[in-house]
Amino acid sequence: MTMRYPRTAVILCACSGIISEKIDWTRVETLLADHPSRPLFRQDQLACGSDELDGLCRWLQEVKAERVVVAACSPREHQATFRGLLSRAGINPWFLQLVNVREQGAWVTEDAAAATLKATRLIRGALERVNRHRPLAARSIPVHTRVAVVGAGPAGMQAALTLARAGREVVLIEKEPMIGGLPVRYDELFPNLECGPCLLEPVMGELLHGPESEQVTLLTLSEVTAVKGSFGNWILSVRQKPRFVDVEACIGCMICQEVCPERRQNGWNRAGELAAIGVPFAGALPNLPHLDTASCRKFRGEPCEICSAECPVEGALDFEAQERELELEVGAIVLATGAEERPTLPAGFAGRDLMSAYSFERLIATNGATGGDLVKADGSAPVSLVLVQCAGSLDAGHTPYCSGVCCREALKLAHLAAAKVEGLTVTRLIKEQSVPGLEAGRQLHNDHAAVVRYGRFDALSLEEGPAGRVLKTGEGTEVPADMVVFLNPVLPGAGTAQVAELLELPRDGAGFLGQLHTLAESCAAPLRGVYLAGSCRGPGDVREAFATGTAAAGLALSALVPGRDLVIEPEVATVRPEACAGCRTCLKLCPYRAIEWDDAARMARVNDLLCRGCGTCVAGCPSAAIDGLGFTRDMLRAEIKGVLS
Amino acid sequence: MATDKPKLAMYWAAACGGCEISLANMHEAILELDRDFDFVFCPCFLDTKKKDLEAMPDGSIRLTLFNGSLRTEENLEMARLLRKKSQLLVAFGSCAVSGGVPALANQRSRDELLSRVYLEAPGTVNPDRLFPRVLSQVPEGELTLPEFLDRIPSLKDAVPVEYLMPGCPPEPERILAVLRLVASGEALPDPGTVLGCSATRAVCDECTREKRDQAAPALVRSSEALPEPGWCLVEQGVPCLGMATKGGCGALCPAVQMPCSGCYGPLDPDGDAGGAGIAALSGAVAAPVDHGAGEAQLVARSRATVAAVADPLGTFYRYTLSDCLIGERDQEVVK
Repeated sequence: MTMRYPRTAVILCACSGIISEKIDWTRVETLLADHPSRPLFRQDQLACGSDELDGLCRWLQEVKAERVVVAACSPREHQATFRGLLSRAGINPWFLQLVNVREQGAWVTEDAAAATLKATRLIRGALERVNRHRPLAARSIPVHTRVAVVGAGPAGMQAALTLARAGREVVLIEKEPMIGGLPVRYDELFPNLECGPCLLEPVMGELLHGPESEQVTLLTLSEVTAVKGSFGNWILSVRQKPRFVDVEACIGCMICQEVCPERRQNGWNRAGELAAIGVPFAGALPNLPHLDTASCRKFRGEPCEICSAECPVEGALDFEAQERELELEVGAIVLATGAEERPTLPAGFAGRDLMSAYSFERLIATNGATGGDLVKADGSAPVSLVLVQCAGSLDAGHTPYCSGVCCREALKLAHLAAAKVEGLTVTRLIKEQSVPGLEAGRQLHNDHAAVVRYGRFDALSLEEGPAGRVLKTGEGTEVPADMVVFLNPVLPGAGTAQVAELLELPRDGAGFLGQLHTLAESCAAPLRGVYLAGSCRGPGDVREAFATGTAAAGLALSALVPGRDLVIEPEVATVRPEACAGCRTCLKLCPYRAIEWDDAARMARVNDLLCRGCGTCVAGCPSAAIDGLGFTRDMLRAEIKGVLS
Repeated sequence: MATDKPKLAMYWAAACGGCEISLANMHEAILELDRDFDFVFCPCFLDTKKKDLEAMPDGSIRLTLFNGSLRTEENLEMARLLRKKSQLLVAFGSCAVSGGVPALANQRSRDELLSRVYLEAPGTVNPDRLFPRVLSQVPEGELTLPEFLDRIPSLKDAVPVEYLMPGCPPEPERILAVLRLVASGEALPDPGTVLGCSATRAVCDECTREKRDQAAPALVRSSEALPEPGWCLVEQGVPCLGMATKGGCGALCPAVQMPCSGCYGPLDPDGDAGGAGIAALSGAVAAPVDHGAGEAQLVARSRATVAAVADPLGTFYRYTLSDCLIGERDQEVVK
């Protein structure tokens, strides 16, 4: 059976001599003249040039080309150009096969005769392949332009604001009763000892009542519980716990907090107490109290409604409030779920006045438990302070990496502590020191703390000496340690693990969210339509949180443009129902979660909105039941045979 | 006794005899065979000889079920003879279709194989280093043995073949279906296709074991595991090739706790059975939660996973080494 070859035009590009100095196109024409497809050749000086494209378009129409082979450069460079050419000439753009004779031929093959033969073989493969091409068409579907931002720390707030400024509707989801993340709880930020709340309050204010706040729906006390759908059309299930306060009616006077007779531990400060209703620290926004049912007397069955009785606004307290389940339709998701510090002490370490850096930050914060006084548990000022850096970092037994931010924080804390207590002896215990940047360098230069190097974290020990308590390193150095602060590694927050689970996102060795590319696409998740901001990507500082918040918003903005439908590339994988036995191997292999199990049909289905045409499932399907459109087995085999014949 | 019934032949080349047993396992349906066909040649069951076959006119046999591998010159000669005498030559069973177990020897040179069998194998005592020879002079005259071929080709690569019937062995129900189809005189499918089996999906489609979307902690050999009945073997770490193997058998092996060993061959007729088998296990083992493992760790882990398959060639290419992409070792390169 002889096959009828479609009329195939072959464009041979000289690339202004770059290709033709190696490859003799006239010789290639001679060698391919007897190919059964009887190709129609045209040599071109620079096929991608706009004048040339006009000429080529006319030529393709004149010769009534049905398939087109272009022997030129990499598809990365000009596939779109030549697909456009085919479109203009009235030919389906997927009837193109681009042969890369420049990067894979002229540039790498020394010998001109060999390069010419190589080009001939590659074109022969393309001729066999292109006649098996099927017409494909890009599809388009409408998308939601609303964006969900998960986490209202600096990164999430910045992303939300950037989106809102562009006129986008944003849903900002925060699991805490207040926004601002970690730095809003820090009195001063490195390197310039800028006031954290002062830096963040304008941002929070803009979100809550600025001109763009109309665009932003803030959901505090809320967590994402399920995610369905795909890029452009996500459906998020969100559970919002009740605040028991009418957010419209409450005027934020905090009389409820003042009159509440109950006390509970203040987990946000990791020290001191808090009323059962109120805010964890002064200045927390939104300026709304939050009732804790675990400690509230009324919720424990006791006849107490003092807060409600004293509240100046009728009906501002609502003890009947219920948990809400919301469903949100959004086009993109920005994850800004942050990082956290997990307090870790060396093995066998116990005693008074040992704390993590976060607890220390809250201790010395003016809105913290002591009003900013640096005091020990017994109320007296410490005489010596040790800042244990790399506390569990660079340590195979704990956390292998360097968080990269703790040195600068330690320098800041050393400076702040010395200013609070006159004559305080400050020692910084370090394994390594990482203080990049001009400003941080200045900070290091002005540091007056004693610096002691130590080896193993778990070899640190405390001893009571004649002149007070000392901390001893494994190497035998002793430093006065009336108070000890550990700068523990920065780890992904619990919310980060939760969203990673829901979206089945890959995570790195430490559990931070994997990125589409760690250098070039570090604010995009490998899952289309999910963007990453702040320290869910890895340990980072406030500056990085703002920058990546802006970046993630930019990616969402450029991906979802109002009025622009989502174009779906047609070169996707497709499952042949008659061949799929339902082994579900592909579901495990797909890096984009683009394959779904159709239980009714007992087969796998590719969601072509999510499929990026990577071909992993095509190669991985043990039953050969998946074809990559544009890259079918038949095409690839024909191409290989053509190259080898 | 001459009859006008269509003639049927069955031949075993280098074979175990299982294919003939499968025919006998048709039980009383064997009477149908006798009713519809004139069974003219089958060394296992009948007394007709090669000379009787040679005496038959070319093309006079309607259907020949040729099983076994082509290991010797004699096997090849019989294949050519039966080709000539038959209208429909069927590569019957996995050995004829794609080499079968004997073709695993294609990974070794002829000299290596003979030396292994006649000198090195445990229990072999051969101080005079005697090897079988094609021609031996003895006082009584000349003795001949068929030549041992360099490699085992599939039947279709040696002689033109109309149809394939994979299976180790093809089940009696399928043999009966093919006999009925040929006896009926109905139109036959396109030459070159599989006869008697219309399954287009893998064995999993017919397997009743339940998928729980779990990955096994490690691969295990089927001899080491006591799999939970009713639960997918692969999800329990047993290298079952059901997902990479053409169905139609009724998933007989997994039904009795045995992993599919791939006797019906790959689903992609131009594909590579072993490659598909390896793909089938690609999602079988759970990746440990150690995000960001170094390259050395990953390599070590992959090696350890693969090491659980004691005999990769025999596991993934048990029936297909005559008919796959990796073929056999290039003897020139080996030298």
